[in-house]
Amino acid sequence: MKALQTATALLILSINLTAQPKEADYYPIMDIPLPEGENIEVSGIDVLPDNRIAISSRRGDIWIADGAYSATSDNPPTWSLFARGLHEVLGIAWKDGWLYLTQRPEVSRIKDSDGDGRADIFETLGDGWGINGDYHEYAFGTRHDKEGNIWVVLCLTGSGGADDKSPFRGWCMRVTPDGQTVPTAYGIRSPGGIGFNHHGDVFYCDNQGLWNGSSSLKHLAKGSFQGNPTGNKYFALTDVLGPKPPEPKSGSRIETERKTVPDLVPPPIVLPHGKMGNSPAGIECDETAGKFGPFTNQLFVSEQTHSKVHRVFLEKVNGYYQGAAFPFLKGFGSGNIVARFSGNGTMFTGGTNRGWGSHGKKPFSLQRVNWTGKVPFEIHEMRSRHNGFELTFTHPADPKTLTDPTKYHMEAYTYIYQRGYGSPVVDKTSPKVTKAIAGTDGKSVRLVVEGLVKGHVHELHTPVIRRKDTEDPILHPVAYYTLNEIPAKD
Amino acid sequence: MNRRIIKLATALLAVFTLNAQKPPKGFEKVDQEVVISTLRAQMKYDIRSFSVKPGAKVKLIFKNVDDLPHNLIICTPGKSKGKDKGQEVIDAVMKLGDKGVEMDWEPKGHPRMLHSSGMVQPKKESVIWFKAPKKEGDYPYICTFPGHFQLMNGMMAVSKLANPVTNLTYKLYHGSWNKCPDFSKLDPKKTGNLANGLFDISPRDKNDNFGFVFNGDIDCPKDGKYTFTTASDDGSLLFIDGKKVVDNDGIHGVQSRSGTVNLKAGKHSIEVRFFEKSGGEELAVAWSGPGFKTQALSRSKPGGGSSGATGIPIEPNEGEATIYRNFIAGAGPRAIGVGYDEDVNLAFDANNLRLALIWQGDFMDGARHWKGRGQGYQPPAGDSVIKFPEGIAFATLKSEEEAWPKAEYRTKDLRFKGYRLDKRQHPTFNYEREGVTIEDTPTPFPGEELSQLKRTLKLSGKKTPNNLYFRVATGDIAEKNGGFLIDEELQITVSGSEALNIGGELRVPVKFKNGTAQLELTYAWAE
Repeated sequence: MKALQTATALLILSINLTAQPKEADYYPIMDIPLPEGENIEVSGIDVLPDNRIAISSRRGDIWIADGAYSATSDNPPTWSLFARGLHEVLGIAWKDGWLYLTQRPEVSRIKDSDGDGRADIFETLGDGWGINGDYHEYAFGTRHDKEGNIWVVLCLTGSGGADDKSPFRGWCMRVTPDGQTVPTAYGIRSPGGIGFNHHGDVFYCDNQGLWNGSSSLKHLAKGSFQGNPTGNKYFALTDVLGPKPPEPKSGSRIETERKTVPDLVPPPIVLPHGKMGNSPAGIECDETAGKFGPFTNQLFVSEQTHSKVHRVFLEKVNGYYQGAAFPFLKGFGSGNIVARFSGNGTMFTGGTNRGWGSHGKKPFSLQRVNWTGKVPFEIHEMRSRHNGFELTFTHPADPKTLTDPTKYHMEAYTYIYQRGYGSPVVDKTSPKVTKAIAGTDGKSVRLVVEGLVKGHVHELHTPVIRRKDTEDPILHPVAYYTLNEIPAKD
Repeated sequence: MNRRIIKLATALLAVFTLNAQKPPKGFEKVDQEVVISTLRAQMKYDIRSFSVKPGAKVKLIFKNVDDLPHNLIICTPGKSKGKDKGQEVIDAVMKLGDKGVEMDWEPKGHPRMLHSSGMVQPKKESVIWFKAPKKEGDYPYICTFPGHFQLMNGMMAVSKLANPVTNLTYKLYHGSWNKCPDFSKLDPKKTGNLANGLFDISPRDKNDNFGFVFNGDIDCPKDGKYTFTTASDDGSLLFIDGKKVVDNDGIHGVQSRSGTVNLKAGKHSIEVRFFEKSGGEELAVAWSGPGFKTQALSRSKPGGGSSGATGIPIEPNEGEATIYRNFIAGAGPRAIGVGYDEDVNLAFDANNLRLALIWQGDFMDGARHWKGRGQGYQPPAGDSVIKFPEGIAFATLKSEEEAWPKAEYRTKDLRFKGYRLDKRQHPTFNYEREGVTIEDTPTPFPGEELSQLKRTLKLSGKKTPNNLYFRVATGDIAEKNGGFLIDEELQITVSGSEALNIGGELRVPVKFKNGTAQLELTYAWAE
């Protein structure tokens, strides 16, 4: 029997060698040529009316492209320079004829009022925070939320400082339509990007470093503490979020400190450092209603160092967001900073590798990803259950390859929560899948797991699962689920 | 831009183009003497580049040892920096046609022509006495005898860092080394001239795995002992007359090494070799000798810190202004730099809503913020920088004599509202102070030699204070020509109110009428 199994496995392997599915079969990456002779380190992308897109650059330019949707290396779009000389724009949003920009020192809005194609009105909307000449003092901004606010996350001064001349470093601020800058959340270290999910809740990515054992995707609930207490000194400047809260103990675990630091919201998605990437950046939700494939309402996270885009599934358990991260697409031209979906299902991506190197060797790039219409065989969702997990797939799976619990490999681990830089992987355990029950539709499996650890990343490998019709393996047979909360028995 | 150069050129031509051997008035003592010879049968000048300080009095002796007649005409800087060879002047010579011979191939009155030696016959010489332009830049010199200029040209750099290094050239190499390789066996990726005589690694095209060899001549003022120093990251070597004087080789952070050599008065060859593997990159060179202390031969002095990163000059389009919002030294972290095509520039401080800096010449260099991670403040790229007082520019005072209020790094009762650009991309800044809206429009306009700035401030509000003051400048203030001379370098005039000198502060009371007030100021550099 065992020999037969091995033979079958070998057979599957040999079949697949001839036509191993690859990412580009489903999501090819196309270059969009940028204007020649210009240095455009793409740091923001938004979609404009009439199939145009606007991009911002780290050097402070705003360019508008006509024809980006169909652009290829041989078919460049028409570019026009809309504005120049802005201060490192890391957020761009089109609304009612204005382009809203998050620059290092402020949220502004700009407009071409005389119709010559160049912006002539530059209005400062909100600038209620400090900067002090440090390159680390980045400000990343969202598009507008439902109330018309722009959310801004402010990197600390230096890798871990909070200068008196730079108020609200390490905080999230909302700039309201009437120009108020409202302190909204705190505890931020070094953001790489910010974005909404389909409910309009706001998330950002924070990079491994002080008080961040690994990089992670975090939920900016109003009044929440994101883990790094360096900026807590600015409670002296505002009472919007109440009195100065208690600080976490260094050398502990987030799961432990949650109990005594009530504002601390554990990261919904830990992106294990070195495994998933090194530098998560922008967050973009697929609200294209299927035009980009089967991942409606999931989040796509740009990864700067590894030049990738990750896919993230979130669920809410006991009132907290948490979920799984999956590899999605690699091989982008430069270090991915932002992604933006257009209504027709095009994902525009942009990046830079200045200051922080990337696997993609171009100094900067603008690209697009269009779904070919073929659905890859992937883990679609991974949900937690009181005694394990449930996986769903994008195609029916061969039930024979789903039901053997020994063919699932799981590891659980966490990171030290500490003042020092980063952390090794610690508290490693090996939860055991004891039962794997295939769903009746063939598109799901229920895993009963012995040894779930609350607060740990649960890394799951599914090497033997095969698609029912083609016998293809899962394109990315790995998932990283951050189990901050375990749901009650259903 | 062009208009200003025409004016400048005409003024200088009229006053200083004199070919007399006897010094004209004011040139009995000169700041610098330069000797340029033709090379026999080579169609070249022996000095291909030299540098002079802005405004320096120069005696240039032009010796023609060749068997053909030659001249030497100094031109204004061209649009393509460093590469221009006075093409328009040559074009004008071509147009002279038959008249060329009788006019000595000199297109008299051409706007780009600054000084001429006149046609110098074989074995003769000529002297040009001139005052170097105030504006820094590369000024080409050429022989306009038909067919000569392609080879017979050179570059006079006007630079505050003028130094005795001439004919300086560079060769750029690519490669990964742990010490200076034998560059002579490698092919350079790029070569070029450094007319300003400054050893400079900014012509590089990448920040890791590159090397440079610089060659030039250095003019020793007298016999004696000279000390040369390099500070580099990574390694460097310095040779005088082919002999190694400084060994600062190997991989290291910025490290200084010196060497001493006895030299005779006159020219000696100088060579610096440099390589960078990875991480930071820096090269500074200096020398000292009999009768003078350490003088930099690069933009920064070894151990003296950098005066600012270079390599990505930011320039306005023709006829327009360009904006640079960034960390600007002297204008704060919320600085808004404005570079006008008229070669005058300013930086506005959006933290305290004040004009922080004005300056002449080049605008800004983006290299600090646009290479690597972009740490820190970058100073202006140009010259004649005027700094205005820090803190707030508007305050309500109990009396005109009351001490000016101290300001935080950022003042809460001020609000920056942004700016509008006109068709020429010239900004009008908008800001508010306690219910008073201020529209602040600077505009460049031509002056005698240097461009000046005009500034219109329109203030309005529903409830306007009757004790609002505008602090324009501080310093040593002298009343002059209906205005005020500040520290003998800046002439300010104010209209719309009467400016007061209150203990070294130039204050303007703002008088509102029907809720509005308007002030006009001019800022002119003292000649």
